[in-house]
Amino acid sequence: MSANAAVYEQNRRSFLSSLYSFREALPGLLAMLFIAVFANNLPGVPNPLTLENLFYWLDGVIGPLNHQPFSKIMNSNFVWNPLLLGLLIANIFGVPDAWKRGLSYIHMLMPLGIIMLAPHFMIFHAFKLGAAPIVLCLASLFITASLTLLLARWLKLDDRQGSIIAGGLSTGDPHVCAILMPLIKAKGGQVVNSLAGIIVFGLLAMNLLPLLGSWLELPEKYFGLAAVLGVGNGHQALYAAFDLGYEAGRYAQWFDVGRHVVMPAGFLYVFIVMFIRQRRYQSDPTVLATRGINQFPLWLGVFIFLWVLAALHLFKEPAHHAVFNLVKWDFSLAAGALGLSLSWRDIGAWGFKGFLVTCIAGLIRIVLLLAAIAVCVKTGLLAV
Amino acid sequence: MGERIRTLLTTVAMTLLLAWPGPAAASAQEDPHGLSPAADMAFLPHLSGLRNKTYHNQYGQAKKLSEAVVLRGSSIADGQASVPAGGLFYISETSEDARPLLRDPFLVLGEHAYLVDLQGRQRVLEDVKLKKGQRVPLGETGYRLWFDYSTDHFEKPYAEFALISPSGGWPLEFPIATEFPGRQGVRELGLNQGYQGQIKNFYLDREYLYGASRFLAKKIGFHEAEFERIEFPEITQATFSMTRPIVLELRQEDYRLYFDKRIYAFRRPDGYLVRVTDFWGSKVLGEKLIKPVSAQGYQDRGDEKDKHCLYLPGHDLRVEIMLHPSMLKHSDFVPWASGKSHGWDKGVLSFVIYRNLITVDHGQPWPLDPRYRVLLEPNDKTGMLKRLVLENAGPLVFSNQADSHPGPVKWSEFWNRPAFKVVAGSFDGKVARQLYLRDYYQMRSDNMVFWPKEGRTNIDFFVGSSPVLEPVLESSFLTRLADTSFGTVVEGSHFTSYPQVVSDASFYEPSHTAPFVPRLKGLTRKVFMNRKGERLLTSESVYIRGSYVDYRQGKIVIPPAGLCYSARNARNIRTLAGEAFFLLGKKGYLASFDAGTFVRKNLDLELWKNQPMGDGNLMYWQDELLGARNKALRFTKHFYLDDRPGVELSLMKYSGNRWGAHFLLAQGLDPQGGNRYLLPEIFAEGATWIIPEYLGSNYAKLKEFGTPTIEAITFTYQQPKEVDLAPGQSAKLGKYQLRCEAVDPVNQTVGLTLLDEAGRAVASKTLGPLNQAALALLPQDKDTARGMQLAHDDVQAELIIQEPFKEGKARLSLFTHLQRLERDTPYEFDPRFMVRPDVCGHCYQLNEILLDNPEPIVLDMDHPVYEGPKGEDGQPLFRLVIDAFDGEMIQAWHIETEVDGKVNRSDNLAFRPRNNLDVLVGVNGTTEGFLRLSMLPRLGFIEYWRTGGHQAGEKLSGSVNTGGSAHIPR
Amino acid sequence: MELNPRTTDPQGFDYMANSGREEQDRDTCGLILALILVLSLTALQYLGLY
Repeated sequence: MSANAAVYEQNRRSFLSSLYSFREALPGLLAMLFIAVFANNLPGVPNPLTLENLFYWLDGVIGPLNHQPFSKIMNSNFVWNPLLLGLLIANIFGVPDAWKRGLSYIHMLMPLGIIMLAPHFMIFHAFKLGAAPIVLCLASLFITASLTLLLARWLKLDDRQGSIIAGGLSTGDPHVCAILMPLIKAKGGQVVNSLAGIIVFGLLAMNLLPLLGSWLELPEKYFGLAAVLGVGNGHQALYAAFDLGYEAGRYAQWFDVGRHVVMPAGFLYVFIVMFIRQRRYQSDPTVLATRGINQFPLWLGVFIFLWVLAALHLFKEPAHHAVFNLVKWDFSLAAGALGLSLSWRDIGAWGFKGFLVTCIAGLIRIVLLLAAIAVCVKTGLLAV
Repeated sequence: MGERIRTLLTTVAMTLLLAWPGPAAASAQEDPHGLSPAADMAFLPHLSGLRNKTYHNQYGQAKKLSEAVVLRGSSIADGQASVPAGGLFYISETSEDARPLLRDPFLVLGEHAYLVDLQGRQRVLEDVKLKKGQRVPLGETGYRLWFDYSTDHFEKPYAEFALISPSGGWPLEFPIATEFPGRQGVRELGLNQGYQGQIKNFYLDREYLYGASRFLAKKIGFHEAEFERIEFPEITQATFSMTRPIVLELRQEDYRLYFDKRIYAFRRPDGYLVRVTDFWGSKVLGEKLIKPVSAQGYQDRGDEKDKHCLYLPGHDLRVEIMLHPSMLKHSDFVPWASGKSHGWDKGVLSFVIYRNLITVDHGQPWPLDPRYRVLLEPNDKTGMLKRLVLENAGPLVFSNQADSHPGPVKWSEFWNRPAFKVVAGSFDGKVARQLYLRDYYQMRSDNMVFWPKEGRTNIDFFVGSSPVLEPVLESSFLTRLADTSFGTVVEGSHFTSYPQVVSDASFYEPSHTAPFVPRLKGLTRKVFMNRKGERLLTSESVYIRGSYVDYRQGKIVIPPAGLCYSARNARNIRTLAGEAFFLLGKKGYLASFDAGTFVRKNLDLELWKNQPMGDGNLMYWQDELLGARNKALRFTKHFYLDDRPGVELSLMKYSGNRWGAHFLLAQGLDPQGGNRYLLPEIFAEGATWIIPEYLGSNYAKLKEFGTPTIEAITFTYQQPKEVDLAPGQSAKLGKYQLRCEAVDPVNQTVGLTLLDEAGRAVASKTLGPLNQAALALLPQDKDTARGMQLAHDDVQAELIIQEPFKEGKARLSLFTHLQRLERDTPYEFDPRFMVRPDVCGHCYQLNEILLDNPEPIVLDMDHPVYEGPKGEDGQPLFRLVIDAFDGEMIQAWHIETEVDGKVNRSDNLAFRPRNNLDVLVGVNGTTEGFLRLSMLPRLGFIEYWRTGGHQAGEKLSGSVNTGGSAHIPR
Repeated sequence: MELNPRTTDPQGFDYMANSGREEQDRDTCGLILALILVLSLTALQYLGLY
């Protein structure tokens, strides 16, 4: 037990002690708040001077690329914008000590945001796609995650980073990198390093995929499915799909829901695999992922419970919408704190090995995916 | 076989017609003024530098301002695109108009400016001739007069025209004729209240009055028209203040400092003497007696206007005095701006000082950039500024070497710079592959060549959300909306806790976001010929209106009258003319009709000012019904002309469409009284008329209002047989024998007797006389038409009035197996549906047959299929199939038909999840009317659909009445 | 374990360190707040308050 933990034990009166005193926490909370409201156009804040709006303008100057804004291709979103702003502030001005108590709220905000995400994933929204595309989405998810974890082990990548990459790559949604951070106990630098690797791989994949797609003469409709499952993030997928053709782009939007609603399965799978491994090899010093988590986190159980309730359609519009707006707030605040904690060196220190793993796993996925879709189309499992 | 070849030829001809850009589109050689861009031009609704916003004037009146950049008349040859002078233009438009003395806002190249002064004049043209379909230039004005179409009543012509301004916009299409009694004639009708017989006259005036515009026809024919006199307003000069005025409280007999000047005000019996001096008060720069500005409209009259301002152009200064409200209410500068204009009782007098003034002259160069020319387009009704157009003065050429052209230089507080840049490049012989617009923020649009591999053969475009798009697209909007290159466009809906729930969808139009399925096999669309050899298009459509998801119950509900089947021809369907229509895919021949007039007297009509449901789709307490499920009268807008209230009324049909153009009425605008404007006091068009008692700004009392109604028709599915009978000859007519008793070609009569199987006479009648008196009322008058028909039981014999006698024989058309379709009765083969015949508001003829559901239809995943109306064979015309529904949103559904055992499915109509089943399937007059009303938001959405994006928060809305089916601004 | 000066204050409190009892307490706070928010928003809707 570190000295700090001992101090905490000593002063602890109830679980609320983790929030510290209002006076201690306020500066950090304000820092997170200001970073959030100057990074994102948050619900309820009519602030025009945001990073999001700056990117919007830059996108207009650059012009759409296959109808997609450049910043969105680069994964600008409500997590990435405050992270970037926090990163800039920390690396230019540093982080005042007075902020640090408040910034520790990130550890409260992460489970909070993840639990509140649960109503967002309504499995039945994917039923309209039919059985075969759903099976493909699930297969892509689990195979990519397993493949990445295996590759990370063979290439001796830090298992925490391997897990983060596995989550982000398999779900096609770099948000998952951030979601996995508290579960895996990954370092902030690893998360950003992995995220950057996935985005850069996405840039390669989104240009490669249309070439392969037209070479294989895949029907545009199912190329849309391939784009959704085979690239880095949503806008990169649309870029790839629209690059091949209009119909592909249209169906990329149609199939996207299949990838989206099973996303929690991706990070749960990665966590459970790594957690079991950690319990089994407790004495192995190279097993770092989920290290420190001794039992299945209760809050994750609550997330799963709420996800099941969502599948039973308990959360309806507009409550679901209101909850998601809170999620945006929550992750904006948390990402600001995460950005503040990192130096460029923290990110760079993890090197390019993660990117290598991403590329190899991603490329194998593309090959498997295109082969599977081509076979399904040939056999009529995917009706043209 | 002959039929098949004819069909083939028709198809080829139609295809060629559609491919031809049409006379409306500008070509490179022609003067582009008043013409539209090419039919395949690109339309982008949004670019950041083109603003679209509502601002208020100093009286709190809302003005919707919009900007657009348009390119028309371009052509590409040898790897370069040429654009004629006047082809590339910037347009800034306001709703209604902008007037002096009101601080009316106006956008000038992205700047929120104010109109401060206008000079105008009336343009008069005499003896204008044109042919049907033409858009003839009116002298050197840049305006064109368009002869849209002609049709007939009692075989006499009437026609629709529009005055097109140089930008291509027009406010409405107006009907005019020279062969009928004028509108004042309806004063003599003297009908009682309630259901009455047909009126014999058809009313249509030879003069159309529209405020400051007047059109006096000399001779309107079917193919040619001649106008005696056309008068419309022109604006010669306008002055804008590019920044907000400075408002200073006025101090009587004292001065206020304004930068380096003093402004004095001395009270005089008839206003204030305003004196502007230098800082020390020693040098007088200008002095004038001015009256304070109030909300009254007469002040902007030419002879009155100058009494209200002191204008010192040399000092960039214009001073007005306004009665300023005590709390700056009704202003853009505080959040509680409201739409109420009149009625301040307290306030202070303030100087309103305008600066940064720019004066522009019509037809002259734009002061900041001589490469562009200014056009000032007035509102044709009020003569005040409607649009500012800046167009290229000389022709332009784009090529791979010179691929961009800067727009006019804009005024800016910081940096005068081009307001936009057009970039057209990647030319390849006759096509361009890249085309975009970059605004003054340096942000660019998407590539306006949507299919770069194929390229485009012109570089015409329209970027921005200006409502002028609506008239500009008049000739091509239907083809654009029916274009299936992007699949069936489905606009997703947002979930709402409070869906628009209605108990009955009569008179409603489908949601403006309802998907449109232009073609579905199984719905008929055919051309046939009547006895006169006129080609008539008949088509069926299906639409759903007022549907919603009851998410608390997890059900989809289509309210009564929500699921509608409509059968309609290109024009009304007439008897005695051998005309047919399609009913549930089967051809029916019209035999007779039973129509009358519904008259109401002394009715109160309330302005549609309060729209508490906020859905813009109201059938509410303000509407006045005319007969059961016939029509509803609506008071949609009021305005002032010369300070007199004018009203805009419109007539809603049961189908949800509007009938005709808006009715514009005002009382007491006597031309002898020195008024600038004229509007009729009475409305009369065909057999629909309104005689007002009082027209006010919130309320109208109507002395008399009448309109046609149709109660029943008879028709048969059996093709009528034509026979020639000499006296004494007989012909079989169903189970009867028809015997010709006498033929009198001199008196034009035919005697007929109907005998039953036993040879007993069951009916006899002398058809005719088909003399001039009868011909003057045919075919529209019911009683005269009946005089040409012998009807009994389910058979009918009628005289072929087009050629009644041949070689001493009478020519007859024989109908058997007649059926009667009566309004509001169950449809015979499917009592789940009710029959609603709909009448033409002009002429008592059958316009449309509707079948709709009298009971609500409730669907969910346990009951996912609903069968549409069934015909004689018991087969439904179509099925609605819900494929995925989660209780809140419909995730997938389609409509399907079965033809020859093969199922035809529409695309998924909830490709983006929807919360209602509203849909438009097939094209006929009814769905076309709905599409016309929702043209702008639909075309705007297609752009988001094409690029996979999501619609921006604010939607486009039109404000233009393009005739045929009238438009209600919402 | 090395100290990260960016995240550690002079008292030795590292805001990115998250372990032991402190971690559990933070998780509990987040969990309770999440449940309150999600359930109250849902309940308010079911009660017809928005």
